[in-house]
Amino acid sequence: MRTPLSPPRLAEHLMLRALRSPLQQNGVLGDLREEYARRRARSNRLSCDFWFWRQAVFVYWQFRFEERIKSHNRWQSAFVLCFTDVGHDIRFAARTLYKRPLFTAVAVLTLGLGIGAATAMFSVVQGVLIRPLSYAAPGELVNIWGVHEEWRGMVEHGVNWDRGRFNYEAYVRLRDESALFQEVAIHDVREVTVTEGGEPDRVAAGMASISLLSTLGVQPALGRWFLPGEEATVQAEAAAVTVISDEFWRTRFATDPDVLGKNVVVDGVARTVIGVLPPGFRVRRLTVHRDAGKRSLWIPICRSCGPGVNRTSHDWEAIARLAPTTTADAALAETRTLLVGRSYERLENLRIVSRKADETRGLGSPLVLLLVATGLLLVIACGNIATLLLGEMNRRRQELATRVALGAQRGRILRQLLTESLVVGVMGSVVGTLIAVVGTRILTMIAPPIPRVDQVGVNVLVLCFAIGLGLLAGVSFGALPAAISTATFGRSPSEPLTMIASRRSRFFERLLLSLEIALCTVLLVSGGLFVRSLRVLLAVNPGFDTENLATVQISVPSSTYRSTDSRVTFLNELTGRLEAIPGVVATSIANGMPFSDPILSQSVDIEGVNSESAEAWDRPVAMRFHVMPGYFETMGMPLLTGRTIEDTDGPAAPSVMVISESMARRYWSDESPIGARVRFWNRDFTVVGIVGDVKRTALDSDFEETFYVSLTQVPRLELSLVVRTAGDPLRVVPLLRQAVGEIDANLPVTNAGTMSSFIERSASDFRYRTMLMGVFGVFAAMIATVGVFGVTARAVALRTRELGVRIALGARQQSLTGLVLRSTVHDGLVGTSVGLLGAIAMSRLISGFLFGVDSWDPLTYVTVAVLLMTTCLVASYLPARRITRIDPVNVLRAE
Amino acid sequence: MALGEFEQLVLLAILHLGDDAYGVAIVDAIEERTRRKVSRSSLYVTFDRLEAKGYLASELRAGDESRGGKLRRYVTVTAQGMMELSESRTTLLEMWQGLEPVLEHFRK
Repeated sequence: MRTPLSPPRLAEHLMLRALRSPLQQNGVLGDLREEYARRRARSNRLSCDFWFWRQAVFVYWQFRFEERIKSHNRWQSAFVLCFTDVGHDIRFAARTLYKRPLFTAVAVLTLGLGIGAATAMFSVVQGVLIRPLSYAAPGELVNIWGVHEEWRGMVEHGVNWDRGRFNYEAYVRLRDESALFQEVAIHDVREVTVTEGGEPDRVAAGMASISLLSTLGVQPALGRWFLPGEEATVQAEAAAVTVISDEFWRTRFATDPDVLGKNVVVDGVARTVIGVLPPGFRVRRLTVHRDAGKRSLWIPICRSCGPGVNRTSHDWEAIARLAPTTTADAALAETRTLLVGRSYERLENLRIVSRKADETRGLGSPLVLLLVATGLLLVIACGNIATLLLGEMNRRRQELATRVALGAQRGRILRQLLTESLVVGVMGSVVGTLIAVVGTRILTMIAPPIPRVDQVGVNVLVLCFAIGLGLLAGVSFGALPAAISTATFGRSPSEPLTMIASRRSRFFERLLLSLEIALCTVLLVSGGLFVRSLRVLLAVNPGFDTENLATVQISVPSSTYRSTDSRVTFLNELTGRLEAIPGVVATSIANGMPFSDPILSQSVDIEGVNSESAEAWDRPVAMRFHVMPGYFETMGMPLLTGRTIEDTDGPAAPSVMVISESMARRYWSDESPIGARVRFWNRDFTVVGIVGDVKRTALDSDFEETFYVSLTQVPRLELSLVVRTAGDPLRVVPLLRQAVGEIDANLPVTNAGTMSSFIERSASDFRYRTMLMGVFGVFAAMIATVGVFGVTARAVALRTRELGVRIALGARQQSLTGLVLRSTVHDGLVGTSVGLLGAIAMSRLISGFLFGVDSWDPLTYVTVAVLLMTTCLVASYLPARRITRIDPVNVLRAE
Repeated sequence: MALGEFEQLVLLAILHLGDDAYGVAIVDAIEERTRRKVSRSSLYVTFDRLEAKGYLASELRAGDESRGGKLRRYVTVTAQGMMELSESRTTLLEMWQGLEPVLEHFRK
């Protein structure tokens, strides 16, 4: 047992492995123990232990390797000597860099910027694409997709052919009869109204089978998940329980440890809290755009609970855990056997996909593009540092030549120069890591809702990436200058070594500068194309007037407004109150708004177009909207033919429909659709008007066939209130809340915003990519500008003697300035030309991300070329002006 | 064979310490006189190297209880070691001869 005055045992064991003879063991170990005891008398234990460990490491190193040097193994000796020299080289490099603070600072900061950008981007890629799912044995998790055949016709209207959702019976069959799945679960998400003290609130609630947590391998932090008896097939049997999220527990219950057993009122039903989920628990719905997977609470499946959830309803996403050693193909074959062919499960395109691959689908390309852009930025930074090093080698050529003359081996000097570059690389890694930590936070803060963005962070893998980049960069930018500086040693005795090194290094300096400018051109052109695309995208006419248009959402509970009459009365009263709000120019209500609500597609029967006996997938499909009178006028949508929905189109009047221009063109290309009969939900509607097309979800999406029916004739409970105002539309939002509250204080008003903001949000992905590409392009231009400045300044400094002699012989200083500038213009032209060709090649890769702009858009290319050449000229003009200050007398005197 | 600078310091310290020359005492002696830090591991490696060359002789004797039972390695300079040390001194003094004014100028 270790006594207070005895040194660390482990350190002693380490030394004993190197000390062989009794003489060494007694002498070394005994002396160190004695000294340790002396130190303990005057210092604390920690510092003494640290001192002892240091001695142990040094003793181990010297005696172990000293012994190997004495051995007869040449390779081991060489390795040891080489390794021992590395320590010396690192110390020498550190001293050399310390004596050149300006060069070191510029090199380290430039490299740090490149490494920081690349590392920050890698941390995003790593978190979103590479990191495994945060569940137990994530490799076993799969998604099961199968499209019901009746939805085949809806594929072009937003139904995802690759991701068909399940119904309850299919889940039960798989759960009970599959041998190849350990667990199968289904889940859904919906907005619910939670009333728990204070104002009612709309939150996202998950509805899930009892097997969800066991499938994911997650345990509740408090309490339990649902039990078998709590999953019901009829409303009456549904258990009134709920499991809440950690965030809900913190915000609503202030982390009350006695939360279990308390009640939460969800959509008017009091539910008992039976469990709390662990922090950060997420389950994404992959068929819901940009779903982050956050749910405030979970309720057990009630197969027939709520509207639209019935026997054939396909609203569930299925997750399963494969049995160990089971493959997805084997599971798919079994699933086909169990499901396909049954009378109510006509599933097509059955697929089993790894959950990880499915969650990251579609995210790879844009992120990899941005990572490649940061890679180019890093290469530009390395090129810049290489030119700096070439300049430094020129300055040190006398020193290096002297060392060679004194007997230094070329390989040794080469190794020393490379070590210097590696030290700069490591320092650049440190600075880059700090930049990456800040950069990653900024990237995630300003990012649009990217899935798995909560997994992004700087971890060990990212740190290793930064260090690896630093070492690779160090070798990359150090190899060429080191090789050039030592290439001429001992080769041309008739020519001064310094002259050869100077010419060759000048050539490579200019070559590297041209390369920098070329890569900078590629980045700037790519960024420019993105910027142009974004401008074109934001200029797209969405089909309605977006100015001063505010909207909020409300959800009317069916339990309070059971009858059609009560719902119509509510709608009419609400409309009246909205119209009375000061500052409101026009107002209306609809069951959904463009750019903010999910698409509702509907198959219909059109008289004269399809037969009534047609299969579901052969029927026409269009987007369905329910609107109050005044909707089209409020939205600023043009009426093309006929009339819009009016006040007279009430519950007792004949059912009417207004269709979009594209729907009219598709199904009535040869005749007017006015008066045509359209049937859905066992009801006939007469077409009374045609309005202009409207973009539904994104500015770059196509117009979709749409029809509008009267809300009072076909009432819905999920409503969006839209108002056009004379002034700032956000000012009326509190008044909208007040108007709703005066009718029913229990109705939560959510998702308030302006149509302009929703449209901007729809383009947030595009804007994010454009911003980042633009920033990388600007950084590249800044680094290249510094490179141009430096190369020109060094060129002037190197040619001072020559230029001084020329001036003495009568040359005008302005013409000599032009001579130097021509060299830079030449390098800039070469670089820009090569860069434009590279940009054309790169633009083929990014053409899929552009909108409304050709990948070879001449305006962008010409603008970038002109900008870069101008920047090169300006950056080189300042150092070139120094020629005017050369005094030929001083130059000749020095000669 | 010429002695290195550190080897000379070690041998001189041993001579100063006489019969009490062992690792800890030698480190103290060098650090006190030269005001330089001494690497312990380098010292023990130097012991072995000098002994291998025949300039040093070692003897294990009992130490105090703080050594946990380990003996002390007492070292003495051999006759061959004294010859080498003397030769190194002579070489150094010959190189310094005539440089007193330079030293004086530097001190001013």
